[in-house]
Amino acid sequence: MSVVSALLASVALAVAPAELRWGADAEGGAPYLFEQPPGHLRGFEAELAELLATRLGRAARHVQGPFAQLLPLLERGDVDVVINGLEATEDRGRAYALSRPYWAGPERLTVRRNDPGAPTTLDQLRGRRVGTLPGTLAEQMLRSLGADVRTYDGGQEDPYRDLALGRTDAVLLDAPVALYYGDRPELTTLPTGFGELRYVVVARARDAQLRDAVDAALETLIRDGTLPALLQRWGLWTEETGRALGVETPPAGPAVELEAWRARTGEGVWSVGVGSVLSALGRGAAVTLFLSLAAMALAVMLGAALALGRVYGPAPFPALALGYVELFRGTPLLLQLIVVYYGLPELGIRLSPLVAGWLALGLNYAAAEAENDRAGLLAVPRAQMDAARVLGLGRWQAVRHVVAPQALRVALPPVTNDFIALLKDSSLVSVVTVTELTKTYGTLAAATRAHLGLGLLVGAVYLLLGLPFARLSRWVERRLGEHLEVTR
Amino acid sequence: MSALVVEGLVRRVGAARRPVLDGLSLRVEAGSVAVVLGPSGSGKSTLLRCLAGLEAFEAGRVALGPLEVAPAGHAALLGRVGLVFQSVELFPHLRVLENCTLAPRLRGEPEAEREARTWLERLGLADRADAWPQSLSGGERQRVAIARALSCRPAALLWDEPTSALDPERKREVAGHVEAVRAWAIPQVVVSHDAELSAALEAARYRLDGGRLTPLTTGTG
Repeated sequence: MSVVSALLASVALAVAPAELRWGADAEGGAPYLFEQPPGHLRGFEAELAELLATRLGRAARHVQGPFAQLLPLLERGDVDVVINGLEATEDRGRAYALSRPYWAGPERLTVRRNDPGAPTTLDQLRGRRVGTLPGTLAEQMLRSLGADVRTYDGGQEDPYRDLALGRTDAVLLDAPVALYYGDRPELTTLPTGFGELRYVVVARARDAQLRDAVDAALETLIRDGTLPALLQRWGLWTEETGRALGVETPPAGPAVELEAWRARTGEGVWSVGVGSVLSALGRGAAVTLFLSLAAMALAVMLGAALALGRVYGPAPFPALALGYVELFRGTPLLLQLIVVYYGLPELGIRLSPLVAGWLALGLNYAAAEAENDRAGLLAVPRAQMDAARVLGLGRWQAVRHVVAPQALRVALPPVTNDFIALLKDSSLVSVVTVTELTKTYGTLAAATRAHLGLGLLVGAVYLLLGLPFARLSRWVERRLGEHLEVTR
Repeated sequence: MSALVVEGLVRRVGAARRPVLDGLSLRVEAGSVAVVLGPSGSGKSTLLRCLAGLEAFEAGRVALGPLEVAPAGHAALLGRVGLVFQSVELFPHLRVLENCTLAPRLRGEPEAEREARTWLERLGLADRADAWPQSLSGGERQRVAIARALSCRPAALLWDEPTSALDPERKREVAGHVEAVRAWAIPQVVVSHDAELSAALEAARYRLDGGRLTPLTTGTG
């Protein structure tokens, strides 16, 4: 009894506020949060989170989530705070508990250097193609200005790359982003900034106490000079920050982190080390493969049950199986995934990210497998069933020993095809914070800016993952079709 | 062994509930053969499917030794009556011997393989036990189907158009197989529109017409 209560107490301690779980998207990139070398978090917000957690007497634990899903993750209870360049806005202030700002500064407009018609004021952006990141204050500004807004989900590099390629006329983004990603030779960032943003730590509205503790910690970090020095090292100190933090004398010292970032630019993917790139990709590939195999196992078993229910089941089963197939085949996998992860908690069902990803992928692909299996079952002549029944086999014995083995041969090639499709679709689970192969690519690419080389490498990894299964399937197909290859 | 007795069998099909079998009666003694002749669509296949337990019937009864089958109880005939299909219907994914042992093995009969090998030997297929059905000739496939049916020790054996898929030389062999099965003292019903086969068998001959059987004058009646 006492052992049990001691165990319970230790569990309670482990769950209770020993950790500060902070949500941020490592694919977003510098200077906020990126991996350098792979697997090792860097960025001024990574340092800030560590400092805050230490002040709060907790251990900082980063939770990876896509930028657009960070606030849903906070609501869901997967993180305690979000620290990822989120601006203080009136709407956010009503829905969440916001800390005091830890950075302030303007939006910056970046244009092509040799573009004579480049916009130089906000008013000139009306009707022009302007790139920015989704869900930011910059996006809201551009929409109210009547600009033709292009948003990019793939990280901070993409809007500037498209601008350099002439696909857009300008990019409006937070000063830190422009500083780190807008410094391409073809581009120039205008010296005047627009508006003022203030980055804050976001907590749940009911966690006002935590917010107050964060504010107190920030206050200390500002007064002892830690936060100003930190921002200075990353080249992020601005007049607006000085005013927002109440610091009159700007910190001194070189912007070592910014210089290091610029020095690395152009060195390519291997600058961070062959071993660390490969081990990061290996981890991502392992997650992708494990998740895909587990989801396919679920899909194959559930699909077979659905097909049997549809073809041979008594009264309500065929209709139920048909309804299932139509529902899961007719709605997007991404929607199903988001509903399973963010929607089910409303019904009290809270699944871990990996389980939610596995379930959504498995349930979705079960619909496809059910149709494959049904086609296989229908391809076997009805008289085979009759022959088996006349010999005295029961209905299910006949299905199992006579119809199913023949159906399998018809159903197998599309199943392999589906497995390879599932392997690729598994990249969607990054929206529920699982870091698989494609997400690893995004994170590595944001840190190294080597999109092409890494992309080819990751593509090769996907091919290598899929090929053995294509081979295996051809072998099984040959085994199952052995009886068809004989010649008279 | 016992006779196969059919009395007043009625089988209706389609939305119009047209009676394909309309009070059909038939008696076949153990060791005897009945040949049912008639054009396509006269209901010959329906009769066999009812006797094998594959199709329900609306009225009448079928008796086979101690087994009495009333309407809605037709499934009781499954596994008791052998049927050699017109399309043969060997299981293509199983070898010849496995085709014959599948059903007895699932019933847990320990002697399944020995018995099946005996039947294959009697039908001249001893060296084909491990062959795939696709590698066999049409005549060999039919003999495997016979061996498969007999390996289940049926209380009656039905033949659906056994000569339709065969060349003339093989057709003559079929009559020999029917005659050979006579030795196991079970009733046999052969459905055919092949006059040659009918003439080669020592059997009672009937014509299926209007859902009933009419005895033909030739033969033992």
